[in-house]
Amino acid sequence: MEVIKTDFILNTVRRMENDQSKEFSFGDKKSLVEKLAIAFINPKDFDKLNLSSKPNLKISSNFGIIIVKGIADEDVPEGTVLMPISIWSNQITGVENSELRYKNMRVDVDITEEKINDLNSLINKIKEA
Amino acid sequence: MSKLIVKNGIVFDPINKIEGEIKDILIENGKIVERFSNQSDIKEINAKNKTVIPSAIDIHSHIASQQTNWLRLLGSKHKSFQEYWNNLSLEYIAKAYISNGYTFILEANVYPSLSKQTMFNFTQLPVLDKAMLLNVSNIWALELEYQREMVNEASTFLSDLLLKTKGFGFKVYNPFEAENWNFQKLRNDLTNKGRLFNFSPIDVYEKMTKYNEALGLPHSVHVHVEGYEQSYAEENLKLILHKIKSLNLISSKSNLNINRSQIFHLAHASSYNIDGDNSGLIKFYNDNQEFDLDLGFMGFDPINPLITSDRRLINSLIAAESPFKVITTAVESEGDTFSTLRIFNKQNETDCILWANSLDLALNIKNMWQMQLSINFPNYSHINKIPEIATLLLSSNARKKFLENLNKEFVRNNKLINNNKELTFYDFIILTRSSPAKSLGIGTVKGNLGKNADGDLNILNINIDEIDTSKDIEKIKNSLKSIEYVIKEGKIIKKDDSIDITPNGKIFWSSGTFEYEDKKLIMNRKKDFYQKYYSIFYDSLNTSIGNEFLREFN
Amino acid sequence: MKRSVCSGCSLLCDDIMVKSDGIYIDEVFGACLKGKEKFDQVTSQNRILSPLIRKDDTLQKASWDEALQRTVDLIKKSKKPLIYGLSNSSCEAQLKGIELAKLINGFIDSNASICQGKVLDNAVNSGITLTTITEIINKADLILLWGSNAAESIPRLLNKVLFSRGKFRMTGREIKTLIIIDPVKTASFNTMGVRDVALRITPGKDIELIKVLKEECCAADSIPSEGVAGLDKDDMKRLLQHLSGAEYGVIFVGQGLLTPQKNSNLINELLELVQMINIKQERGRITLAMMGGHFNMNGFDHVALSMYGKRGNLHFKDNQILETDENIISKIENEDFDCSIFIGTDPISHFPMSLSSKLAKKPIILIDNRNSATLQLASIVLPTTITGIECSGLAYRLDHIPIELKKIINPPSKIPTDEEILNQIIQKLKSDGGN
Ligand code: SF4
Repeated sequence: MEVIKTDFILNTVRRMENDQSKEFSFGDKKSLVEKLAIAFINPKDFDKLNLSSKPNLKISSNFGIIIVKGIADEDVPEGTVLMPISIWSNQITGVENSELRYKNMRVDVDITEEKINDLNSLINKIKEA
Repeated sequence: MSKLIVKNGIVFDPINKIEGEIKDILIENGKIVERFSNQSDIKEINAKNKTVIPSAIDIHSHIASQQTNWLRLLGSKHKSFQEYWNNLSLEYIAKAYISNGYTFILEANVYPSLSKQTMFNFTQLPVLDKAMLLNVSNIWALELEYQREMVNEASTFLSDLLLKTKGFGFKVYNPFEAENWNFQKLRNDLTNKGRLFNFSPIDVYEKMTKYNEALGLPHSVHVHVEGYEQSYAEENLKLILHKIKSLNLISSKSNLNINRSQIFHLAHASSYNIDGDNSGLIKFYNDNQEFDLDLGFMGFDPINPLITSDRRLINSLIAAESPFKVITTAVESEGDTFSTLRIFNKQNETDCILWANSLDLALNIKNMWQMQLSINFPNYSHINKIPEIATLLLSSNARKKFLENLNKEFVRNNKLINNNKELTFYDFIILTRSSPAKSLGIGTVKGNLGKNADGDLNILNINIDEIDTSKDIEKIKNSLKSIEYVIKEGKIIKKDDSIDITPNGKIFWSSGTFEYEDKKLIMNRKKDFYQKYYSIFYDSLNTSIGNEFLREFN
Repeated sequence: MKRSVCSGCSLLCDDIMVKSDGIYIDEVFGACLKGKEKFDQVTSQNRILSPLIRKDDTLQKASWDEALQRTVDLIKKSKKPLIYGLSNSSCEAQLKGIELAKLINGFIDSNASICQGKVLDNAVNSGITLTTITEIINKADLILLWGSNAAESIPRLLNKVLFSRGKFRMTGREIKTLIIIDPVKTASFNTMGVRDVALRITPGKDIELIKVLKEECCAADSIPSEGVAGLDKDDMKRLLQHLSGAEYGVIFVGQGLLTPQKNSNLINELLELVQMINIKQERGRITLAMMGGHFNMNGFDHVALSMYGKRGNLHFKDNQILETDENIISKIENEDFDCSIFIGTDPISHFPMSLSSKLAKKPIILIDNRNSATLQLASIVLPTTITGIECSGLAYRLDHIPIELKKIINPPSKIPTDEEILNQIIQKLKSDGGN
């Protein structure tokens, strides 16, 4: 099968509906994943990637890889991936010159059947790294 | 409780007309007493052959406001600032003041909306007693009052504002200048009405003086004249002084002998006659005893912070070659502020003139009680320059020596060189202790070694009777530089090199003695104003600072 | 019903009505959704109500005595402790945090340093013209959101500054222009009217826009005909007209501007642009305001400046402040710490994996009131009150105006405040002979 790989710009943001502190206060492990392990892309990119064929997005940057659910959102410009700031987006953000890099980063986006990481697996990954 | 006796010192206490008498000072429970309630547990300091004076009082400083933080921020990238001013931290400020014999300090410019920051800082400023003046010269809630006088309405509101914020009095500073929103716009006449307001800046000076006296506040209105360090100030100064004089007011606090006699306090009076001609100002002060001023001495420090709201000054500074950076803020429609750094230079003629103005005034205004020594800290000088400034006042020799290093042109033109007048040590104590206390209206407890005053004093390791203060310059300087004891409310705060910063000082505040029957009605109207045009409710200005920090003064 | 202050975000609205008997909060009126959620945290299911200590790799309930003793033991063993957070604490607590750092020769900083504190750091090099909300209400005719999604981060900001009537803006919204510069069409775009200007900039190209604007300030018509940074020439012209013709403009600097772009310092360029406009502008002024998220993000800066003359990054050695170029990121990156204390913050949710994994290698002491990713890794968790609801204190609004938060109800299970916890640690360290 043909692999479609596209260059994207990653932007991580805080959103009222997708807010980690809110989820940690009121949510549970399931809602955390639902609200935070997600990435928004433009519907055109959604189609281009043929995202409906496979459930998830694999986003990789210089700093790491994360698998999250892709959601079409026409407010996101083409070529941009928007993620809520959380332990999921942190897997692909990083540090350069002692400054955090969490906006306007180049990433590769791919569709995948791999499962979305849950909170425990990420915590374990942090512990074991 | 605690008792302290300072024995056999040579006491200078101008408020009680004591000039170099050998005398014991007794302090019990923080207050000066004539005799102790009983004879147990008395701590004794032998002050034989030493000089005992009240603690010093700074009547005009900038030490606890948001702008001071902006200075610290700007200074954090300048080595000379960090070294010389020690980052201007609150603890350092307190220690520096204590070292120089001070136990009371007035923060002279606080916007009501920022007053909580000052209060919070005050609680972190150890040992010193302190108070703040609110800058209300750009308060839109007083728009109608500034236009039509309305003394009852304004005084009711201002009294409540002091009560809420725990302020001590009022500062007037470039009224409504900030309402020319463009920073380049400079006005040329204080008598013209503004673009957005139907009164003139001079009205604000006038009305605030009236309100202040109606309120019966301890201190008079405290005034900065627009055009600071620019020739524009000279005319303004004249205009304001004559306007206030024409009101024929008398001090609401003149009935008590230690209370203030002035109705108008001019801040850092050295900064307005940029041509060096103070004769008009001196004559005015010699003729009009209901005015006083602080002297604004310059210290020629390696670098000076500057807090100002004076647009003209800041524009002239940023027009210079490679100017220091400026942090400008517009505070809640209460005025603009500018914070920056600057360097005064002994080779710069204008700087020399500003320096000389202080001396000129001090030597030629006849009544010492009309003047207070100030340094506009930290704008004009570090407090550590006080011993040197003392010698300039006490000794014409010291003055001559100092002049040797100043700009040649200045030295040639300035008449200071021919003025051989010298102040006495007693005069110096008036300028630094008794007169500031009197002007602030706190003379019953501060700057005073009489019965019931706070037990705040300095012991200098010097026998003033045995030296010639005009000749023994170094001796005087050293005794002031290393004050042997600083005592506050009977506690030893400084002994030689060790300073105890554990005790807390008090925040002096006053809401005056004004009562008006329709207070509620007036305040409701003011509260409505805040609700309409402010980001917070009027009641949110209320500080919940603990009573343990406060000392009310009326 | 009593008026209270909301600590849901750094706007610190003081017009919230709360119905409460002092034990429970019955109703909250006037707060936005975000504010309401803050109040809901009091009873949230994930609230921590007891100290927790990690034993056998799980967090277990412990007594306060044990938890504090363990905390002090950990701190005593530590040679290079880190203290971080405090943007959700009162200034009183921030003061205690700094006192603790001094006592234990630690490194302390707040969230501001990776956020709006950067603007102030740049102000040292280029100067800045700040403004406050009352000013904006009464005077502003131009409100520019740059890289900031006010509608979601400071939900009632636009209510207060855009939809209000001011003393000199009696016609209200009619006379105020809103400009938004953002690559994403955020919720804030929904507040736009016909005369407003929406500028969907190409991601990461703000720097190019600022540079052209700066050039334009010096020489008219330097806008390339193809536009800049994804904005066409006409839009650029409108932007310029507004900036140079406003009577009172305010630029809200958002998160989007805080990361460097193309190796240039975006903030610095922006500050310089504002200075240039203010010198050239003949009608009015352009000012800046920052949009910190946490309710007291500015507080730490003010406390630290007053106490030590530094905005952040306080490093103590021999109980004295030290000059340092380090920051929280470099400290973690270089693993230059051996224990970390987090107060009211969740770094594992904020920091990249590379830092989190380093934090996880050393003991973590967490002082907070709810579950978080950091809690999953903490060795000790000390629960605390919700400042602004269960305890009072001073905080600085986003525009640096000090606001007092009020206590509305007692905390559950007699939980102590941040200030009290930090003080208890300090006292215990002192009575144990310190370290
Ligand atoms: S805008 Fe912020 S402070 Fe105001 S109600 Fe909403 S969350 Fe609370």
